[in-house]
Amino acid sequence: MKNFLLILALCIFSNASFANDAAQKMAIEAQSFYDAQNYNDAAKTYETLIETGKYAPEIFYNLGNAYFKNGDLPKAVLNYHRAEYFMPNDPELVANLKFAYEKAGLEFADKNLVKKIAFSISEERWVIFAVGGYIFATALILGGVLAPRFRSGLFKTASIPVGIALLASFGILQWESRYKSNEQIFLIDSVTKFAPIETSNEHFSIPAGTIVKTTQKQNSNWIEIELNGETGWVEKSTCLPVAFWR
Amino acid sequence: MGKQRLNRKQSHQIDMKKNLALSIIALSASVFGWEAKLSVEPTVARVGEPLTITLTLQDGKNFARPNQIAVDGIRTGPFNSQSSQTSWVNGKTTRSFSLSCQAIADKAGDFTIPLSYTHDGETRDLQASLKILESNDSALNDLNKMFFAKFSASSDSVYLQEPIDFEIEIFTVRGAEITNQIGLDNLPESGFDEFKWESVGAEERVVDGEIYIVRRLRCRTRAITAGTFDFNPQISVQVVTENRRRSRDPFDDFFGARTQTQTLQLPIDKTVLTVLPLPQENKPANFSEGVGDFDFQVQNIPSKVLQGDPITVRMIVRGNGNLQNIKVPVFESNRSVKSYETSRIQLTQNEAVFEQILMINDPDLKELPAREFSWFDPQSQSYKTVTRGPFPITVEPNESAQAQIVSENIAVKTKTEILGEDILYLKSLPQNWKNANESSWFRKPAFFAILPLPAIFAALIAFLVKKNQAQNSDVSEKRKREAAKNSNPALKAAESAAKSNDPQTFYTEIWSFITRYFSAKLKLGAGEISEIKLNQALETSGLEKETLNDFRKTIQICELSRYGGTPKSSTEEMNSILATINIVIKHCERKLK
Repeated sequence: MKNFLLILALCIFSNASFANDAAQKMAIEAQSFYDAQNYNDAAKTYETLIETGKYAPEIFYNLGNAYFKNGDLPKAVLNYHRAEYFMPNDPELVANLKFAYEKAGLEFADKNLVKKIAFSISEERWVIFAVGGYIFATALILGGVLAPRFRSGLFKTASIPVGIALLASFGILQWESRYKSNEQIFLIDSVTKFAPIETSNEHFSIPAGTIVKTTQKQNSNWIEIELNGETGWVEKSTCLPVAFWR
Repeated sequence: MGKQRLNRKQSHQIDMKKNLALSIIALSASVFGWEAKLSVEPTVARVGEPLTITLTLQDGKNFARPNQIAVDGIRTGPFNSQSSQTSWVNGKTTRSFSLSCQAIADKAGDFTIPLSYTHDGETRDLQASLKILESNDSALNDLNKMFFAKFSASSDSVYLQEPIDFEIEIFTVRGAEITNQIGLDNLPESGFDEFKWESVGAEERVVDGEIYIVRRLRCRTRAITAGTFDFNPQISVQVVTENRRRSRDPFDDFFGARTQTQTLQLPIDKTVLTVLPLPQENKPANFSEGVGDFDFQVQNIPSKVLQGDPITVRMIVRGNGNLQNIKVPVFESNRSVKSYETSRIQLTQNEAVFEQILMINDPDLKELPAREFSWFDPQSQSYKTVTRGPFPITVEPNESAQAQIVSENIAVKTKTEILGEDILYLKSLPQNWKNANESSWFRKPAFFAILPLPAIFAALIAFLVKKNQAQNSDVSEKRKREAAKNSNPALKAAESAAKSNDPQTFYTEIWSFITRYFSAKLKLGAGEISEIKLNQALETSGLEKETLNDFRKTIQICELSRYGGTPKSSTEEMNSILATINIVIKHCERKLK
């Protein structure tokens, strides 16, 4: 039985390792296309790599670069935004994203202070902070319970990790809200309609590369989006979800 | 009765026409002074049918009665019936005065009724036309001749989206009566836009020598699917007939219950319509989806504009066709011009008006590009294109206008910030790959299962430690718990004494063990241990009687040893006592916790 479990663990590990190796090879191939200024093939190779189910923020960033160099600014913006979900404060990413916005003639929307703080750290890090704060606070409280002589000091100290855990929980909620809004990007200039039918009156236009939130309303062909407090209907084929991995 | 209904209907029609005539007269009278009009109702009649000749006068006072009219073949009476009416036309109140006479035709033919009327020294020569038919009522016996309908289309073939008119004419022989309720069914359910029928009035018409009241319904629609369509509509009317069954209720006569309606399906000929697809050959790239005959105009482009100021360009399409589907050639955004969405602000039967907001950001722009509008003309069966522009324009620089935003809905940056010349290079290969099919570690159920463990673990530790502390703080409880452990050395010593066959030491140690163990277990002082108390405690705890008797004997021997000298005991006897002691301890450890 022990041998069987060992063999199973080795198989799983070797499969994962093999998949990662294959992904690494494709990433290297894409990078060589990029270095050879063959940006079209570089983008295609990165896309193929992502289609295999493997992804990483660095790959989104590099794919954004390939699209940017190939002149496809909306897709460059899309992939920089995908990378932003995992490394929001990466200075190179922020610089390239702003530059892509600049080139596309789009406004780089400044977030309010709350969102700025929440999205300055990835959701994974917020979770680590929250769990760390929670464990540390639990340990301090336990110490206070067990050592009455130091109870007051330990309980007061525990308020720091409790605060960190609460702040991190708020950050996690903000990220969850962002995921829930199912951000979409428009790859072509589009026009929203007042109702989800072809003959409906046009409402407002959306330039290619714009990121919008969605409401929960949708049907098989149409989806309701929200931009600057206005809502309108667009055909699903005109936009792509940013966070596809969830 | 039939005649009465006919006369009621005729008088109603006469009233309607009279009102129309009055309105026309009122309009013209306001320009030319007093006016007069001569009319006859009905305009088509049979020999012997009553006629009414009416002279309508307006915008004057003290009108005199005209002389009796004399026409060969028509007998007329004097103008002895008069009425007046006040109307309000173009903000002016006018009064009209009508004089009528009855007439009857003696022979068939086309007649012109003349009347020369003089008022305030001014004479007007008036006349009215009349058609008289021979007396003949044979058609009234054949329902299919009394009531029938005609369905027609404006064309037998149209192009997709081309407007087409359908008309239904419902013929009712004069003298017969139908209600306004008309049923229309069996039209194609798909392939056409909505059928919206509207009444376009009624008129008298002579068909095969019979006089009919013809009600006309018209509908304009457009084909949205190519193909051949059979139009075989089912038209039904409600015919008013006399109720032949005599009612016993006298009120029925008073309230007109002697009539009833019957539904009648009208015979109609089938019509076939062919809908042709638009030709793909020579179809312009910027085809507007318009089918018909149109003109296109671009208006409201100023010759001079301030940089960044929004201008509203108006594009107008006029003509006949599917204006509701038209797409106008909008101005597109580029480096010099930012354009916003186009909205249709007006749509009438012959005109569609669109507006588009433009914002010109380039002070060097000299003209706005020409706009081409293309449509398909079914008459010439070809695509047509009209070009408007280019539109010369002078843009005056405006430094302060850089950040104007026309619509908040548009995600467009109006003032740019130069960030750099190029993007930064690629990132190195990732160390940690994620799998799209797998959730992040913090979304997995295992994570949520583990999450409460630190708190549970801490609570458990706290509970155990606290419990331990509580136990240690009670000395008697601790003694009780550790009674066996603390008394054990005496028992060991007794075992050794038994082995070495030393009864005195044996009984001394056994007694020592009993006092230590039971004083701790029963929370008593060492001096308080007695046979009675032990017996009571062990009996209460449920110790077997035999064992209890053995134990009592052991106590008695120990006491004897202590006070009356050590009894002689063999090793077997001492081992038997040890066995009894062990049974009792086991029992007490189980029962006296």
